[in-house]
Amino acid sequence: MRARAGLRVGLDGGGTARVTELRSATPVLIRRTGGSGNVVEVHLVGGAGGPLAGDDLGLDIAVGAGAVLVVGSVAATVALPGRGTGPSTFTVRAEVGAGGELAFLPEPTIVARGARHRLISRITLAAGARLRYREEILLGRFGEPGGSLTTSLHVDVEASAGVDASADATGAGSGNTGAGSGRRRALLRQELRLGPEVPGVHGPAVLAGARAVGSVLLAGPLTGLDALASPVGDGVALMPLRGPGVLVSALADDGLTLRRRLDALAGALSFDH
Amino acid sequence: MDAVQKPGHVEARAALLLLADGRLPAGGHAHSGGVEAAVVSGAITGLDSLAEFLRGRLATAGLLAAAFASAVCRAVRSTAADADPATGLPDVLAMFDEEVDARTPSPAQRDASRAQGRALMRVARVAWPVPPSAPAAPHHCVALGLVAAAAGLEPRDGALAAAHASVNGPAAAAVRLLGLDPLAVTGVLAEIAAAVDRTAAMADAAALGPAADLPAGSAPHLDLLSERHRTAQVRMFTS
Repeated sequence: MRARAGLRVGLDGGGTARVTELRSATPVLIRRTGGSGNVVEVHLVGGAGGPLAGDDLGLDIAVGAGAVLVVGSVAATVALPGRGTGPSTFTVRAEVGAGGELAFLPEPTIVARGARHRLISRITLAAGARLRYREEILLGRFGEPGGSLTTSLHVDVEASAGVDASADATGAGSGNTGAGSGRRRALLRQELRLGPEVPGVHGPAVLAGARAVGSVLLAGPLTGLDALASPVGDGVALMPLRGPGVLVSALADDGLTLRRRLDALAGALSFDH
Repeated sequence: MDAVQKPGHVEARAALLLLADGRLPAGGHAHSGGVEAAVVSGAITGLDSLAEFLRGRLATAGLLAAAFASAVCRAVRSTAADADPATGLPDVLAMFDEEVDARTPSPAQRDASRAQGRALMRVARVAWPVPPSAPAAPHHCVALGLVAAAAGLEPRDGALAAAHASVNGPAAAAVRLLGLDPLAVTGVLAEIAAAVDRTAAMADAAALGPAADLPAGSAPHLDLLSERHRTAQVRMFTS
Protein backbone atom coordinates (compact mmCIF):
# COMPACT_ATOMS: atom_id res chain seq x y z
CA MET A 1 0.00 0.00 0.00
CA ARG A 2 1.26 3.46 -0.93
CA ALA A 3 -0.27 6.64 0.41
CA ARG A 4 0.84 10.20 0.97
CA ALA A 5 -1.30 12.65 2.91
CA GLY A 6 -0.85 16.43 2.87
CA LEU A 7 -1.52 19.22 5.29
CA ARG A 8 -0.94 22.92 4.74
CA VAL A 9 -1.64 25.68 7.26
CA GLY A 10 -1.11 29.42 6.95
CA LEU A 11 -2.26 32.72 8.41
CA ASP A 12 -4.92 34.76 6.64
CA GLY A 13 -4.81 38.56 6.39
CA GLY A 14 -6.29 38.91 9.88
CA GLY A 15 -3.70 36.65 11.54
CA THR A 16 -6.01 33.65 11.89
CA ALA A 17 -4.67 30.22 10.99
CA ARG A 18 -6.38 28.60 8.00
CA VAL A 19 -6.04 25.07 6.73
CA THR A 20 -5.40 25.56 3.04
CA GLU A 21 -4.92 21.89 2.29
CA LEU A 22 -6.07 18.82 4.19
CA ARG A 23 -5.59 15.73 2.08
CA SER A 24 -6.08 12.39 3.80
CA ALA A 25 -4.79 9.32 2.01
CA THR A 26 -6.02 6.02 3.40
CA PRO A 27 -4.72 4.78 5.77
CA VAL A 28 -3.26 8.16 6.81
CA LEU A 29 -6.37 10.08 7.82
CA ILE A 30 -6.20 13.62 9.20
CA ARG A 31 -8.95 15.10 11.40
CA ARG A 32 -9.08 18.71 12.51
CA THR A 33 -9.64 18.56 16.26
CA GLY A 34 -9.20 22.11 17.50
CA GLY A 35 -7.29 25.34 17.57
CA SER A 36 -8.12 29.00 17.51
CA GLY A 37 -6.37 32.22 16.61
CA ASN A 38 -3.08 31.33 14.95
CA VAL A 39 -3.25 27.69 16.12
CA VAL A 40 -4.58 24.66 14.26
CA GLU A 41 -4.75 21.25 15.90
CA VAL A 42 -5.18 17.98 14.02
CA HIS A 43 -5.01 14.31 14.87
CA LEU A 44 -3.87 11.43 12.74
CA VAL A 45 -6.31 8.55 12.68
CA GLY A 46 -5.07 5.11 11.63
CA GLY A 47 -7.51 4.09 8.90
CA ALA A 48 -6.30 0.51 8.59
CA GLY A 49 -4.32 -2.02 10.59
CA GLY A 50 -0.59 -1.77 10.43
CA PRO A 51 1.52 -0.44 8.74
CA LEU A 52 2.34 -3.84 7.27
CA ALA A 53 5.49 -4.93 5.49
CA GLY A 54 5.89 -3.15 2.17
CA ASP A 55 3.60 -0.22 3.03
CA ASP A 56 4.98 3.14 1.98
CA LEU A 57 3.07 5.83 3.87
CA GLY A 58 3.76 9.47 4.36
CA LEU A 59 2.63 12.89 5.39
CA ASP A 60 3.73 16.22 3.89
CA ILE A 61 3.32 19.24 6.15
CA ALA A 62 3.73 22.95 5.46
CA VAL A 63 3.31 25.53 8.21
CA GLY A 64 3.24 29.11 6.99
CA ALA A 65 4.91 32.08 8.63
CA GLY A 66 3.47 32.82 12.05
CA ALA A 67 1.08 29.86 12.13
CA VAL A 68 1.13 27.11 14.76
CA LEU A 69 0.23 23.52 13.87
CA VAL A 70 -0.20 20.83 16.50
CA VAL A 71 -0.26 17.26 15.19
CA GLY A 72 -1.26 14.42 17.50
CA SER A 73 -2.50 10.91 16.89
CA VAL A 74 -5.47 9.17 18.44
CA ALA A 75 -3.65 5.95 19.20
CA ALA A 76 -0.29 4.25 19.11
CA THR A 77 0.90 2.98 15.74
CA VAL A 78 1.58 -0.75 15.69
CA ALA A 79 4.03 -1.80 13.00
CA LEU A 80 3.26 -5.39 12.03
CA PRO A 81 4.92 -8.03 9.90
CA GLY A 82 3.18 -8.89 6.66
CA ARG A 83 3.52 -10.61 3.34
CA GLY A 84 4.78 -7.56 1.48
CA THR A 85 8.38 -7.33 0.47
CA GLY A 86 10.71 -4.97 2.25
CA PRO A 87 10.06 -2.95 5.35
CA SER A 88 7.09 -0.68 5.96
CA THR A 89 7.93 3.02 5.87
CA PHE A 90 6.35 6.16 7.29
CA THR A 91 7.87 9.38 5.99
CA VAL A 92 7.16 12.85 7.35
CA ARG A 93 8.32 15.88 5.38
CA ALA A 94 7.72 19.26 6.93
CA GLU A 95 8.60 22.87 6.27
CA VAL A 96 7.96 25.57 8.83
CA GLY A 97 8.00 29.24 7.86
CA ALA A 98 9.48 32.18 9.76
CA GLY A 99 7.90 32.59 13.17
CA GLY A 100 5.81 29.48 12.61
CA GLU A 101 5.68 26.46 14.88
CA LEU A 102 5.13 22.75 14.37
CA ALA A 103 4.36 20.53 17.34
CA PHE A 104 4.54 16.96 16.10
CA LEU A 105 3.49 14.86 19.07
CA PRO A 106 2.13 11.49 17.96
CA GLU A 107 1.52 8.54 20.25
CA PRO A 108 4.25 5.85 20.36
CA THR A 109 5.20 3.49 17.57
CA ILE A 110 5.04 -0.12 18.75
CA VAL A 111 7.23 -2.49 16.77
CA ALA A 112 5.61 -5.92 16.89
CA ARG A 113 7.62 -9.11 16.75
CA GLY A 114 8.79 -9.81 13.21
CA ALA A 115 7.92 -6.34 11.91
CA ARG A 116 10.42 -4.34 9.87
CA HIS A 117 9.56 -0.66 9.97
CA ARG A 118 11.23 2.63 9.02
CA LEU A 119 10.33 6.03 10.41
CA ILE A 120 11.82 8.86 8.36
CA SER A 121 11.46 12.58 9.07
CA ARG A 122 12.91 15.46 7.07
CA ILE A 123 12.11 18.85 8.55
CA THR A 124 13.27 22.30 7.47
CA LEU A 125 12.81 25.31 9.68
CA ALA A 126 13.01 28.87 8.40
CA ALA A 127 14.97 31.30 10.54
CA GLY A 128 12.95 31.94 13.70
CA ALA A 129 10.69 28.90 13.21
CA ARG A 130 10.05 26.50 16.10
CA LEU A 131 9.68 22.74 16.32
CA ARG A 132 8.61 20.40 19.08
CA TYR A 133 9.04 16.82 17.84
CA ARG A 134 8.40 13.69 19.88
CA GLU A 135 9.42 10.18 18.95
CA GLU A 136 8.61 7.22 21.21
CA ILE A 137 9.41 3.61 20.33
CA LEU A 138 8.18 0.54 22.18
CA LEU A 139 9.80 -2.75 21.31
CA GLY A 140 7.14 -5.45 21.10
CA ARG A 141 3.58 -5.65 22.34
CA PHE A 142 3.08 -7.06 25.87
CA GLY A 143 5.74 -9.61 26.64
CA GLU A 144 6.92 -10.23 23.07
CA PRO A 145 10.35 -9.33 21.74
CA GLY A 146 10.35 -6.40 19.37
CA GLY A 147 10.81 -6.40 15.62
CA SER A 148 13.24 -4.26 13.65
CA LEU A 149 13.04 -0.52 13.34
CA THR A 150 15.13 2.19 11.76
CA THR A 151 14.39 5.82 12.52
CA SER A 152 16.03 8.73 10.76
CA LEU A 153 15.42 12.32 11.78
CA HIS A 154 17.00 15.23 9.90
CA VAL A 155 16.28 18.78 10.97
CA ASP A 156 17.79 21.70 9.08
CA VAL A 157 17.57 25.34 10.05
CA GLU A 158 17.78 28.09 7.48
CA ALA A 159 20.07 30.90 8.49
CA SER A 160 18.68 34.26 7.54
CA ALA A 161 21.09 36.27 5.43
CA GLY A 162 23.60 38.17 7.52
CA VAL A 163 22.45 36.82 10.86
CA ASP A 164 24.45 33.63 10.88
CA ALA A 165 27.92 34.96 11.49
CA SER A 166 29.07 32.65 14.28
CA ALA A 167 32.63 31.35 14.11
CA ASP A 168 31.61 27.90 12.92
CA ALA A 169 29.29 29.13 10.22
CA THR A 170 31.92 30.09 7.70
CA GLY A 171 31.40 27.10 5.46
CA ALA A 172 28.91 28.10 2.83
CA GLY A 173 29.96 25.77 0.07
CA SER A 174 28.19 22.57 1.07
CA GLY A 175 25.75 22.64 -1.80
CA ASN A 176 23.23 22.33 0.97
CA THR A 177 21.09 25.38 0.38
CA GLY A 178 17.47 24.86 -0.47
CA ALA A 179 14.49 26.87 -1.49
CA GLY A 180 14.74 29.37 1.34
CA SER A 181 16.57 32.65 1.42
CA GLY A 182 19.53 31.63 3.56
CA ARG A 183 21.90 28.75 3.87
CA ARG A 184 20.68 25.66 5.67
CA ARG A 185 22.51 24.39 8.72
CA ALA A 186 22.16 20.85 9.98
CA LEU A 187 20.65 21.03 13.46
CA LEU A 188 20.09 17.34 14.14
CA ARG A 189 20.75 14.11 12.29
CA GLN A 190 19.78 11.11 14.33
CA GLU A 191 19.28 7.50 13.39
CA LEU A 192 18.26 4.67 15.66
CA ARG A 193 18.64 1.08 14.54
CA LEU A 194 16.83 -1.46 16.68
CA GLY A 195 16.16 -5.14 16.23
CA PRO A 196 17.47 -8.60 16.96
CA GLU A 197 20.00 -8.31 14.12
CA VAL A 198 21.62 -5.09 15.40
CA PRO A 199 24.96 -5.69 17.19
CA GLY A 200 24.99 -4.79 20.89
CA VAL A 201 21.53 -3.22 20.72
CA HIS A 202 20.41 -4.44 24.14
CA GLY A 203 23.83 -3.87 25.67
CA PRO A 204 25.10 -1.01 27.84
CA ALA A 205 25.90 1.38 24.94
CA VAL A 206 22.53 1.41 23.20
CA LEU A 207 19.38 0.35 25.09
CA ALA A 208 20.86 -1.08 28.30
CA GLY A 209 17.95 -3.51 28.53
CA ALA A 210 15.26 -0.87 28.03
CA ARG A 211 12.13 -1.72 25.97
CA ALA A 212 11.08 1.87 25.43
CA VAL A 213 13.24 4.58 23.91
CA GLY A 214 12.33 8.08 22.90
CA SER A 215 13.24 11.70 22.52
CA VAL A 216 11.73 15.15 22.32
CA LEU A 217 13.44 17.74 20.17
CA LEU A 218 12.78 21.40 20.88
CA ALA A 219 14.25 23.53 18.13
CA GLY A 220 14.19 27.29 18.50
CA PRO A 221 14.85 29.85 21.21
CA LEU A 222 13.85 28.41 24.60
CA THR A 223 13.05 29.61 28.08
CA GLY A 224 12.99 27.54 31.26
CA LEU A 225 16.47 26.02 30.90
CA ASP A 226 17.83 27.94 33.87
CA ALA A 227 14.99 26.82 36.11
CA LEU A 228 15.74 23.12 35.61
CA ALA A 229 17.21 21.59 38.75
CA SER A 230 19.34 19.17 36.73
CA PRO A 231 19.67 18.35 33.04
CA VAL A 232 20.09 14.69 33.94
CA GLY A 233 17.51 12.47 35.65
CA ASP A 234 16.84 8.78 36.10
CA GLY A 235 16.96 7.39 32.54
CA VAL A 236 16.70 10.80 30.91
CA ALA A 237 18.99 13.66 29.88
CA LEU A 238 18.50 17.08 28.37
CA MET A 239 21.18 17.88 25.81
CA PRO A 240 21.68 21.40 24.44
CA LEU A 241 22.47 21.07 20.73
CA ARG A 242 25.22 22.95 18.93
CA GLY A 243 22.51 24.91 17.13
CA PRO A 244 19.38 26.51 18.60
CA GLY A 245 17.55 23.80 20.51
CA VAL A 246 17.74 20.89 22.91
CA LEU A 247 17.18 17.16 22.66
CA VAL A 248 15.65 15.34 25.60
CA SER A 249 16.42 11.65 25.34
CA ALA A 250 15.10 8.87 27.56
CA LEU A 251 15.04 5.11 28.09
CA ALA A 252 12.53 3.14 30.15
CA ASP A 253 11.01 -0.29 30.62
CA ASP A 254 7.54 0.79 29.48
CA GLY A 255 5.79 3.53 27.54
CA LEU A 256 4.23 5.32 30.51
CA THR A 257 7.56 5.68 32.30
CA LEU A 258 9.16 6.83 29.07
CA ARG A 259 6.56 9.59 28.62
CA ARG A 260 6.91 10.64 32.26
CA ARG A 261 10.70 10.89 31.91
CA LEU A 262 10.51 12.91 28.69
CA ASP A 263 7.87 15.23 30.14
CA ALA A 264 9.88 15.76 33.32
CA LEU A 265 12.51 17.67 31.36
CA ALA A 266 10.90 18.69 28.06
CA GLY A 267 7.66 19.76 29.77
CA ALA A 268 9.47 22.42 31.77
CA LEU A 269 10.58 24.25 28.64
CA SER A 270 8.72 26.66 26.42
CA PHE A 271 9.61 28.71 23.39
CA ASP A 272 10.78 32.24 23.78
CA HIS A 273 8.35 34.14 21.58
CA MET B 1 42.12 7.12 -5.57
CA ASP B 2 44.06 4.15 -6.90
CA ALA B 3 46.05 5.93 -9.54
CA VAL B 4 48.43 3.96 -11.69
CA GLN B 5 51.31 3.11 -9.40
CA LYS B 6 54.87 3.70 -10.42
CA PRO B 7 57.17 0.71 -10.40
CA GLY B 8 58.67 0.41 -6.97
CA HIS B 9 55.80 2.36 -5.39
CA VAL B 10 55.04 1.06 -1.93
CA GLU B 11 51.62 1.80 -0.50
CA ALA B 12 51.68 3.71 2.79
CA ARG B 13 50.98 1.20 5.58
CA ALA B 14 53.26 2.03 8.49
CA ALA B 15 51.64 5.46 8.89
CA LEU B 16 48.33 3.72 9.54
CA LEU B 17 49.86 1.67 12.35
CA LEU B 18 51.32 4.85 13.81
CA LEU B 19 47.99 6.67 13.57
CA ALA B 20 46.13 3.80 15.24
CA ASP B 21 48.69 3.22 17.96
CA GLY B 22 47.36 3.86 21.45
CA ARG B 23 50.76 5.33 22.34
CA LEU B 24 50.35 8.17 19.84
CA PRO B 25 50.58 11.24 22.11
CA ALA B 26 47.14 12.51 21.14
CA GLY B 27 45.42 12.45 24.50
CA GLY B 28 43.38 9.31 23.90
CA HIS B 29 44.31 7.91 27.31
CA ALA B 30 42.26 10.65 29.01
CA HIS B 31 38.99 9.43 27.47
CA SER B 32 37.05 6.25 28.17
CA GLY B 33 34.34 6.72 25.53
CA GLY B 34 31.59 6.29 28.12
CA VAL B 35 33.11 3.24 29.80
CA GLU B 36 33.81 4.97 33.11
CA ALA B 37 30.20 6.14 33.49
CA ALA B 38 28.97 2.70 32.44
CA VAL B 39 31.16 1.06 35.08
CA VAL B 40 30.06 3.52 37.77
CA SER B 41 26.38 2.92 36.92
CA GLY B 42 26.86 -0.86 37.00
CA ALA B 43 26.11 -1.29 33.28
CA ILE B 44 29.56 -2.75 32.60
CA THR B 45 30.69 -5.28 35.18
CA GLY B 46 33.03 -7.62 33.33
CA LEU B 47 34.17 -9.01 30.01
CA ASP B 48 30.72 -9.99 28.69
CA SER B 49 29.06 -6.63 29.28
CA LEU B 50 32.19 -4.87 28.02
CA ALA B 51 32.00 -6.85 24.77
CA GLU B 52 28.32 -5.93 24.32
CA PHE B 53 29.13 -2.30 25.03
CA LEU B 54 31.92 -2.30 22.45
CA ARG B 55 29.73 -3.98 19.80
CA GLY B 56 27.01 -1.36 20.32
CA ARG B 57 29.53 1.48 20.33
CA LEU B 58 31.16 0.22 17.14
CA ALA B 59 27.83 -0.08 15.30
CA THR B 60 26.81 3.48 16.21
CA ALA B 61 29.57 5.95 17.11
CA GLY B 62 32.19 3.78 15.38
CA LEU B 63 30.38 3.61 12.05
CA LEU B 64 29.68 7.34 12.18
CA ALA B 65 33.29 8.26 12.94
CA ALA B 66 34.64 5.87 10.32
CA ALA B 67 32.37 7.28 7.62
CA PHE B 68 33.41 10.85 8.39
CA ALA B 69 37.10 9.96 8.56
CA SER B 70 36.83 8.36 5.13
CA ALA B 71 34.79 11.21 3.63
CA VAL B 72 37.14 13.87 5.01
CA CYS B 73 40.22 11.98 3.81
CA ARG B 74 38.75 11.74 0.31
CA ALA B 75 37.74 15.42 0.31
CA VAL B 76 41.18 16.56 1.44
CA ARG B 77 42.92 14.40 -1.15
CA SER B 78 40.73 15.70 -3.98
CA THR B 79 41.13 19.30 -2.79
CA ALA B 80 44.89 18.82 -2.73
CA ALA B 81 44.76 17.45 -6.28
CA ASP B 82 42.95 20.55 -7.55
CA ALA B 83 44.95 23.02 -9.59
CA ASP B 84 44.09 25.80 -7.17
CA PRO B 85 45.17 24.64 -3.71
CA ALA B 86 43.06 27.31 -2.00
CA THR B 87 39.81 25.72 -3.18
CA GLY B 88 37.74 25.96 -0.07
CA LEU B 89 39.33 23.34 2.16
CA PRO B 90 38.36 25.26 5.34
CA ASP B 91 34.77 25.49 4.07
CA VAL B 92 34.62 21.78 3.32
CA LEU B 93 36.02 20.88 6.73
CA ALA B 94 33.65 23.29 8.50
CA MET B 95 30.75 21.63 6.71
CA PHE B 96 31.87 18.15 7.88
CA ASP B 97 32.34 19.47 11.42
CA GLU B 98 28.83 20.90 11.35
CA GLU B 99 27.45 17.55 10.21
CA VAL B 100 29.24 15.80 13.09
CA ASP B 101 27.88 18.40 15.53
CA ALA B 102 24.36 17.61 14.31
CA ARG B 103 24.99 13.90 14.93
CA THR B 104 26.29 14.47 18.44
CA PRO B 105 23.46 15.81 20.61
CA SER B 106 25.44 15.23 23.81
CA PRO B 107 27.52 18.34 24.65
CA ALA B 108 29.86 16.14 26.70
CA GLN B 109 30.57 14.00 23.64
CA ARG B 110 31.02 17.05 21.42
CA ASP B 111 33.57 18.46 23.87
CA ALA B 112 35.40 15.14 24.17
CA SER B 113 35.52 14.76 20.40
CA ARG B 114 36.84 18.31 19.88
CA ALA B 115 39.44 17.86 22.63
CA GLN B 116 40.72 14.66 21.01
CA GLY B 117 40.63 16.30 17.60
CA ARG B 118 42.71 19.20 18.91
CA ALA B 119 45.24 16.84 20.51
CA LEU B 120 45.54 14.78 17.31
CA MET B 121 46.03 17.91 15.19
CA ARG B 122 48.80 19.06 17.53
CA VAL B 123 50.74 15.83 16.94
CA ALA B 124 49.91 15.76 13.26
CA ARG B 125 51.23 19.25 12.56
CA VAL B 126 54.62 18.09 13.77
CA ALA B 127 54.53 14.65 12.20
CA TRP B 128 52.85 15.07 8.81
CA PRO B 129 52.38 17.77 6.14
CA VAL B 130 48.97 18.92 7.38
CA PRO B 131 47.51 21.81 5.32
CA PRO B 132 48.17 25.09 7.17
CA SER B 133 44.51 26.08 6.75
CA ALA B 134 43.31 23.03 8.74
CA PRO B 135 41.25 23.93 11.83
CA ALA B 136 42.81 23.78 15.30
CA ALA B 137 40.09 21.70 16.97
CA PRO B 138 37.95 19.74 14.55
CA HIS B 139 35.95 16.74 15.66
CA HIS B 140 38.16 13.72 16.24
CA CYS B 141 36.87 11.81 13.21
CA VAL B 142 37.37 14.87 10.99
CA ALA B 143 40.93 15.17 12.32
CA LEU B 144 41.53 11.48 11.62
CA GLY B 145 40.45 11.93 8.01
CA LEU B 146 42.62 15.01 7.62
CA VAL B 147 45.66 13.35 9.14
CA ALA B 148 45.15 10.16 7.15
CA ALA B 149 45.25 12.23 3.97
CA ALA B 150 48.33 14.15 5.14
CA ALA B 151 50.08 10.87 5.96
CA GLY B 152 49.47 9.57 2.44
CA LEU B 153 46.81 7.07 3.50
CA GLU B 154 43.63 6.09 1.68
CA PRO B 155 40.08 6.99 2.81
CA ARG B 156 39.50 3.38 3.83
CA ASP B 157 42.54 3.65 6.12
CA GLY B 158 40.98 6.65 7.84
CA ALA B 159 37.80 4.62 8.26
CA LEU B 160 39.70 1.71 9.76
CA ALA B 161 41.63 3.95 12.17
CA ALA B 162 38.36 5.55 13.35
CA ALA B 163 36.52 2.23 13.75
CA HIS B 164 39.50 0.81 15.63
CA ALA B 165 39.70 3.86 17.90
CA SER B 166 35.99 3.59 18.72
CA VAL B 167 36.58 0.33 20.59
CA ASN B 168 40.28 0.23 21.40
CA GLY B 169 40.46 3.25 23.71
CA PRO B 170 37.31 2.28 25.63
CA ALA B 171 38.62 -1.29 26.06
CA ALA B 172 41.91 0.01 27.47
CA ALA B 173 39.96 2.22 29.87
CA ALA B 174 37.95 -0.79 31.04
CA VAL B 175 41.15 -2.62 31.93
CA ARG B 176 42.11 0.23 34.26
CA LEU B 177 38.64 0.87 35.68
CA LEU B 178 37.66 -2.72 36.41
CA GLY B 179 41.10 -4.26 36.84
CA LEU B 180 40.30 -6.67 34.03
CA ASP B 181 42.90 -9.10 32.75
CA PRO B 182 44.54 -7.27 29.79
CA LEU B 183 45.05 -10.59 28.02
CA ALA B 184 41.34 -11.40 28.24
CA VAL B 185 40.38 -7.90 27.03
CA THR B 186 42.71 -8.32 24.07
CA GLY B 187 40.83 -11.54 23.39
CA VAL B 188 37.57 -9.57 23.32
CA LEU B 189 39.08 -7.05 20.90
CA ALA B 190 40.35 -9.85 18.68
CA GLU B 191 36.82 -11.31 18.65
CA ILE B 192 35.44 -7.93 17.57
CA ALA B 193 38.20 -7.31 15.02
CA ALA B 194 36.23 -8.76 12.11
CA ALA B 195 33.33 -6.44 12.98
CA VAL B 196 35.77 -3.51 13.03
CA ASP B 197 36.85 -4.44 9.49
CA ARG B 198 33.23 -4.76 8.32
CA THR B 199 32.27 -1.46 9.94
CA ALA B 200 35.18 0.32 8.26
CA ALA B 201 34.23 -1.15 4.88
CA MET B 202 30.56 -0.16 5.32
CA ALA B 203 31.61 3.32 6.42
CA ASP B 204 33.96 3.73 3.49
CA ALA B 205 31.16 2.83 1.08
CA ALA B 206 28.65 5.10 2.84
CA ALA B 207 31.16 7.96 2.77
CA LEU B 208 30.77 8.28 -1.01
CA GLY B 209 27.29 9.79 -0.56
CA PRO B 210 26.37 13.39 0.29
CA ALA B 211 27.54 14.53 3.74
CA ALA B 212 23.94 15.01 4.92
CA ASP B 213 23.28 11.29 4.35
CA LEU B 214 26.35 9.91 6.10
CA PRO B 215 25.62 7.47 8.95
CA ALA B 216 24.12 9.08 12.07
CA GLY B 217 23.54 6.14 14.38
CA SER B 218 22.76 7.10 17.94
CA ALA B 219 23.40 5.12 21.12
CA PRO B 220 20.85 6.49 23.60
CA HIS B 221 22.37 4.97 26.73
CA LEU B 222 25.82 6.22 25.76
CA ASP B 223 24.33 9.73 25.52
CA LEU B 224 22.80 9.44 29.00
CA LEU B 225 26.05 8.08 30.43
CA SER B 226 28.09 10.89 28.86
CA GLU B 227 25.85 13.59 30.28
CA ARG B 228 25.85 12.01 33.73
CA HIS B 229 29.62 11.61 33.67
CA ARG B 230 30.08 15.30 32.92
CA THR B 231 28.54 16.15 36.29
CA ALA B 232 30.24 13.36 38.26
CA GLN B 233 32.30 14.65 41.17
CA VAL B 234 34.96 11.97 41.06
CA ARG B 235 36.25 10.70 37.74
CA MET B 236 39.39 9.15 36.35
CA PHE B 237 38.66 9.96 32.68
CA THR B 238 37.54 13.22 31.08
CA SER B 239 34.83 11.40 29.15
